[in-house]
Amino acid sequence: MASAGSGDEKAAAAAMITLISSDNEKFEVTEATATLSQTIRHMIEDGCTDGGVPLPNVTSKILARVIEYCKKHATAAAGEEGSSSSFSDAAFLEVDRAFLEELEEFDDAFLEVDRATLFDLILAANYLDIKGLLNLTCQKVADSVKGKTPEQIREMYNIVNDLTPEEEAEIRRETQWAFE
Amino acid sequence: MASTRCADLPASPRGRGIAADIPDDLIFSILSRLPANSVIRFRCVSKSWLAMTSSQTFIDAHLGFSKASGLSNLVVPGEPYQQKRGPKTPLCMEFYKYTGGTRVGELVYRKHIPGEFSERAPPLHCDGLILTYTRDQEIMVCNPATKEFLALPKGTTHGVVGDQLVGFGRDPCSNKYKVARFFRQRRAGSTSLLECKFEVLTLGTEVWRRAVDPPCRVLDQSPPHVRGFIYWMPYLLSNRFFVCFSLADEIFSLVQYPPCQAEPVAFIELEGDELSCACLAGASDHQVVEIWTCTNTDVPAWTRRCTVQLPPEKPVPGPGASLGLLNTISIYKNDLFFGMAGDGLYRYSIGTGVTKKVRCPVSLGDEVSFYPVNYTESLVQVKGQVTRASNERILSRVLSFMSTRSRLCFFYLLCP
Repeated sequence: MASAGSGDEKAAAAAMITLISSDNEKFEVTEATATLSQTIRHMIEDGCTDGGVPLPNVTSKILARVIEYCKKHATAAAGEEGSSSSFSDAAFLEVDRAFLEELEEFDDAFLEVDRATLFDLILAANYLDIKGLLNLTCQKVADSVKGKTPEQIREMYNIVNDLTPEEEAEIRRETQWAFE
Repeated sequence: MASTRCADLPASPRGRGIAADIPDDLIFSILSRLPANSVIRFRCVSKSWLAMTSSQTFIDAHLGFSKASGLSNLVVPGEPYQQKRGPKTPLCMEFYKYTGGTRVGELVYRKHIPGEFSERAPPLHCDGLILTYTRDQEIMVCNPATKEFLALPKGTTHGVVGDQLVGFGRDPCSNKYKVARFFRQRRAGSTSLLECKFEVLTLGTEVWRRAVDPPCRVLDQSPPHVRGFIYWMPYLLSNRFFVCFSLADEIFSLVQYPPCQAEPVAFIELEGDELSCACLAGASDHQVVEIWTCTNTDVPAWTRRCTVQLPPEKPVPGPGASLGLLNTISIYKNDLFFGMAGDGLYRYSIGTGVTKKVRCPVSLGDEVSFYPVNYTESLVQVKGQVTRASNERILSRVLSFMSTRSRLCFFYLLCP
């Protein structure tokens, strides 16, 4: 296992991708990490990653966070493949579970950011097409707003209420139970 | 409360107008992951949020996330056992949320309908819609998450003998919900000959359409729907074929029983859209239930999913006895739920082999039947995709229906 692992790492180390943020900062990542992004995966498949991948929609601050997420989850994906093919004994499942718990803890800590950063992460996850990250961040926002009132939502997100008072009163009357 | 127009407020000092920067498809992504209750509350945030969350695309996406987050278990208590086949009673529906463990949680929905109703059959579920029907002719569909309720028009009554047997599911081709109704009717010009008949109503329409005649009489057992097909047990279990109705083509076919020594007694709902059934095995006491799953319904390939030893003090009647005593079985995570006629609900843990009775906080006593049903919260409209005008017409019909009818109790327990 150990020797196979280091072999993989060597192979992965050979294929490095350079990502360039909107503020022109360069990030070197392994192909395994980068391909969690479907957008980058397609670029690699099309062979247009020489000289780096410019990401004009993502700042260096956000890109650093996104890479942090991808590194962790790329390792997780590799670990899962290994476990399902060669191990099924209880001891290994125990390790597996510990690893999944660690991953969950990582995700929780990863989401401890302010609202603006969270939305920037959503935009980046959407642009880079990283399904796991998009799901995680959207769910985080959903969880944080689910108990709010419409007024709180409008204030939090600067949304202009363009319903007439009559329209709003009618909707509220029809769905009064949802406000209790 | 008077509405405060956000336009009149000073710009939020706490940050930039984030929602304005977020493309609509991401707002969509976030809102579709909310519980139904929150989505409904947020419909008065703005015109665009109202339009987005009311769209069919949104309702479908929301259902997708709701399904992905795992099926819940819905347990439906019926009437006290001794009332079965008794005098007609008004109707009262109550929905309880079940938050796991050995007892039932909070009340989430209640509806009383005055009038006289005959005995109810176990409820049916599809995509967050619960269909309830009485043995004679009433059929109602409601969505506990949106509180929508709809009484369907009555089907054929002329020359009909005995109970109606109803199935419910989604046609995967048209994405419409269909209600299928089996009944027996006197042959024209004959007083004794009964023919098996079948009719279908698409939700959102008002007409029962006569479908092809079923291949045989079917059994009074909750029919599951799996990927566009509804399955019934044959009236003669020795036929060794399930009767299968395609919601898309509206035709029948037959599906072979699982290769099990015992005869199937009930269908159960499994996570993952698979056809499953429970078979009673064991030598003479029928204390063993085998759960079989059909992985491919085109070319039926049955596999035995698990074998459950039932608690000796609660024997399940064998096929020779009244099948009606074992109401329904459902599976949720690693627990099997058995609804026993007149004896409440039991939860069997496959992992530990321990059976426990689920406690209900309502004062119905122990002699109530419980129907466990897998459930997915959704925003699916009970009226289907109908125009505003016909919506209003249906609403006025429901109101007049409600003003003429009254008591009958359901208790729905929802697992998270």
